[in-house]
Parts: sequence; structure tokens; C-alpha cells
Amino acid sequence: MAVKTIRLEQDRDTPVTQQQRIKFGYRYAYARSADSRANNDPGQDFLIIREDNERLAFALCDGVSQSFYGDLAARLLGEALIDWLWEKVPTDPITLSSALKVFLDSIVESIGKQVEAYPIPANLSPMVREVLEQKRTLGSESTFVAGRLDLIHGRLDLAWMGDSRLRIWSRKGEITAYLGETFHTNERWSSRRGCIGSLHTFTLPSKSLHYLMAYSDGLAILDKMLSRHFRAASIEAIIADSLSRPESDDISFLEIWLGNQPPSEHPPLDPPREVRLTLEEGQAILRWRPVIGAIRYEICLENGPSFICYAPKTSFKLPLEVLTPKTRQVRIRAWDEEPGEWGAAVSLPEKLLPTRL
Amino acid sequence: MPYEVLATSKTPALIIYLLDVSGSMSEKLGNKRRIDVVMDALGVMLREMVFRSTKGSRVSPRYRIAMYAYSDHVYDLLNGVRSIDYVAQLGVPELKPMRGTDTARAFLQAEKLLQQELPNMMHCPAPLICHMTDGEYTGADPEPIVRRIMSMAVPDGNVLVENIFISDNLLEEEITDPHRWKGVLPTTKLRNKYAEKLRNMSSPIPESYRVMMREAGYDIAENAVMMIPGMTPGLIEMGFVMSMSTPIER
Repeated sequence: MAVKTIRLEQDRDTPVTQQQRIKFGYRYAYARSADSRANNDPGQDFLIIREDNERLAFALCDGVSQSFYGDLAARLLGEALIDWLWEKVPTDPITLSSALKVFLDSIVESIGKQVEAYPIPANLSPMVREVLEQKRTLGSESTFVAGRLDLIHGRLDLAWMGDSRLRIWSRKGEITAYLGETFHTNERWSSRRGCIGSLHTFTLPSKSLHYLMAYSDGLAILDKMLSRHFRAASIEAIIADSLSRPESDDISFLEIWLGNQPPSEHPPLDPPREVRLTLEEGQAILRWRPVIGAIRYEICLENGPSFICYAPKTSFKLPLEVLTPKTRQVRIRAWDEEPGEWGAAVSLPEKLLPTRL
Repeated sequence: MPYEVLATSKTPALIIYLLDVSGSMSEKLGNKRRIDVVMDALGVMLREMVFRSTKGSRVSPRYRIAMYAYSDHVYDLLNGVRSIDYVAQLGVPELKPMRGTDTARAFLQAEKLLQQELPNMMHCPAPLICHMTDGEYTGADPEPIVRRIMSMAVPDGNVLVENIFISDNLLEEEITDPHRWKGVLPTTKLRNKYAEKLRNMSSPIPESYRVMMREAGYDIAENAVMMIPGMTPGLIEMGFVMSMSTPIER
């Protein structure tokens, strides 16, 4: 198979997309923050993957938004890293860290020149222009997690700086602890200063790996809730949930597994049954039958917010103040670690809805 | 946790500035008029706000600002509450020294604004009032109004009040480097009765603000209050940096 490179565009979203090869498979997704979407700005994450039948390299970079155009550093660093990982990873894993450090320092000059030449739009106010020029002098910065799976030599090499996540599983369970407490927010690569903080590397025999996941801090919600391979629909739901939060950030996600099929998945929980809405003393109460295995229930108003109700409770008082004329229906699904199937939508009585927006 | 809600475009931080433009603001602080030193510090603060809000070329509206100058009357410098992206277009408003110091009237204006704004701010960071003055009030005592304001709250915490008191003779110690100074503590000896009153009208600094201040290079102590003696331009600048230390996503 010829070498294939996948670059996720920073100016559009990519849903969870899966590729399966003979010896390994992978899936990836990209979503811009709610703010970036609303303003049609590029995301500041960058994800690039290169692979053939025997090897796969990746770089997931998260541009520092307070630096000079963090999306620029993320893209330029990601492109440089993927070339290095594909061509230049040293044979001796002991020299991985020092060789990569030399490389990361060596690209400061060339990327620095591109940052120097990067045009600032002419229509900005003097204060914003002044701030951007100040940022330019400080450089464009990005965190990264990167790696190469080499099945010819039976090796997985990983490298990272910053707080993007890298998690690994063996056949027996998660072994991310091998990587140590080494994901620090203040560590990053800068077009002005090179490596800020420590560069971290780790090498593992590929036979010890079952699957790995890399994701940017926009998906930080996964840190606590994800303990295994999730269904694609669950990843999509969690991305959607992350984007609905006020602190919504750009999201990039990559999972790589060994073998000719994805890791096994848990089936979704059943939909809540017998969902009904009753009006009691001016209040709208939703009730449903419990779902076996549910930890919590998500109550989602059409064109409105979602609410959480923790099991074993199986009723919820709808807050009437959030209803709008567009809130015609409400639906419920149960969650364990992942979302279950939606129950049938229940229509809201006209008299509950305000007449005007 | 109080004072932990991040300032974002969906949950912006509201900061209300009350700026004394009484006649004494034309007196010198170093080789500049006090009012010019304040305008310089406001410029530094607004640029820093823009710095923290800029993603690519776009200024994200994560701060909302109201700015009132007061003397015998209160003057709305921004014509209402404006987001930082708007203020970035506008630049620093011009301040001119006028006459008296009706501090109570300014705080009343802030209280009125908060009454309008708070119901829509239940998911936002607790608002902050940054009051800058260089002398004792000439109108009614502002303290009862400040107490009322400090008891107003959103789930993130009570409204914060910070005071920057421009005076060259406030502390017994000399502050040679604002970046190493620990701040005004409840036990700090103040040389001026009005400074003591202002300390009583200042909120304890929240831990999240202290962390942000540390990132900006200031080493404020845990039990410091949000009061800055504006004895030098550097300290006045520090006061304005404190006012915008709502935690943000990095």
C-alpha cells in the first residue's frame, strides 16, 4: 500500500471516521469550538496521520490560543513532526528523546520565519494590531502528542509536550500510568523559544499495545468518563456535549488499535420506556421506567438545553422558564459510561409553551 | 467552588470601573498628572484584556465592561455595558479632572447596574467593581452602599469590590517592586483613616484571582484584600491587572 497522509482541515469539522487495515485500524474526529464555528474561524488544533500497511505516524497539536495564531504553530509543528516521525525516528529508542529535542530546536528558525511573515488582517483596530504584534514577538506556540507505530520493528514510540491527552491500553486494561504525571499545561513548543519545559518520550513493544487514544483538552470530559473503547456514536455525543459547554474548546481525537477489527464495544443501554409527562399543580413532571444499568439519565429539550437526572431517580421536574415556542418535544436516554438509545420523544402541551420568543 | 467560573464568550466576566476624576486628579504623581497615570494604566489593562481574549485575529467577548467617571456627577464613559471586542475598537476613553468626589453616587450607579445585570448572570463569574480614587468622598458615606453591593451574589460568589487608592503616603513600608509585594493584609498598618475605611470596603482576594495574578508576575499573599495603594504608576497598573484576574481558559 502506498503511503497515505490524512490532514484534518482546521476550518471544518470532521465526524468520527474509521479506517481499518489488515494489521491495525484507527479513527479520528475534529470539531471546532462553538465560538470558532459561530465566527467561522479555524480551529487551533491540528491532527495529521500518515500510514502504510506496516506503520502509522500521527501528530496531534493544540495551538496555544493566547500565543500568536496558535493554529499556525499547530499546523507547522504537526507537518514537521509527521515528516520526522516517518523518516527519522532513531533505531535505538534510548536516543529518541535527544534526537527529537535536537529536531524541535532545529525547526525554530524555519517556522519562526513563517511566523514573522504571517500577515495580520488590515482591518483590525490599532489596539488589536498592537496586541497581535506583541504576541508575534513572543511566538506562535503549540502543545503536541505524537507517535509512530512500527509493526516491522515491533515498536510504538510516543512523544509529547503539554496537556493534550495520550492514553494506552494493553489487552489487560489501561496502562497510561506508564507515561507518568507528565502532561503539564505550561509545557509546549514555541516558534520563538523551541521547547518550553520538558519533552517526554516513551517506547513500548507494539505487542504490548491493544489500543491508544490521543485527544486535545477540548475533550477533557473524557478523562473521567472513558475507561475503554467507546462506540463511535458515544464519541460523537460526547463531542457534542463538550461543544455545548461555555468553556467549549477545539477538539481533536484519534484512536489507533492493533488487529484487523476494532476493540469490542459494549451495546448501548435500552431506551427509557413509558415516558410520560404529567401536569401537577402547575408543574410539568416527566416519569419513565428505570433502565437496567443506567447511572444517569439525560433529558433533552428540543432546541433547548439538556439536564441530568441521576439514577435511581426516574422522574424530573421540567424547568418551565427554559421553554420556548420552539421547544415542542422532550426525550430521554440513559447513560452508563456511554449514552444509551433515545426513548420516544414526548410532545409538550401547547399550554406549557410561551407564545413569544 | 466560589470564583471558579471561567470568563468565556458565553459566560463573560462583568467588570465595573468607577474612576474618580475630582480636581485633585490633576496633581502630579511622579512627573505626570494622576489622571494621565490612570489613563496609561487603563490602556495597559485593556491591552492585557485584549491579549487574553484574542484567538487568531478575533477578540472573543469574554469580558464585559462598564466604566463610569465620577466627580459631583457620574459620567457613563462607554454608554452602557460593552464587551471587550467593542472597547478594543474604541481605545481608552479620555478622562478630564473635574471638581468634587461624590463616591456614594458612583457606587449607587454601580448598584443600579448590578440589579439590572445579575439576573442574567447566573452562569457567569461573579462581577467585580474596581473603584479608583485619590481622596476622601465629599458627598454621602459610600460604605453602606458598598456593603449592600458586597452582599449581592451569583452562584460563583458575591460581587467583588476592589479599591485603588492613589496617594503617596499610605504605607509605612516602601514598595520597591510591586511584583514581590504581598499586598494589603488585614493587619497592614495604614497611615490614613480613609485608607482604613477603603480596606473595609475591599473584598478578600479569591484564590483564583491570586493564581491569575501570580501568572501575571505578582506575588499577592493568601489573606490579602483587594486594595492597592496607588503610590506609583506600577502599583496603579497592578491594581487594574487585579481587576481583570477572573480565571480564563488557557
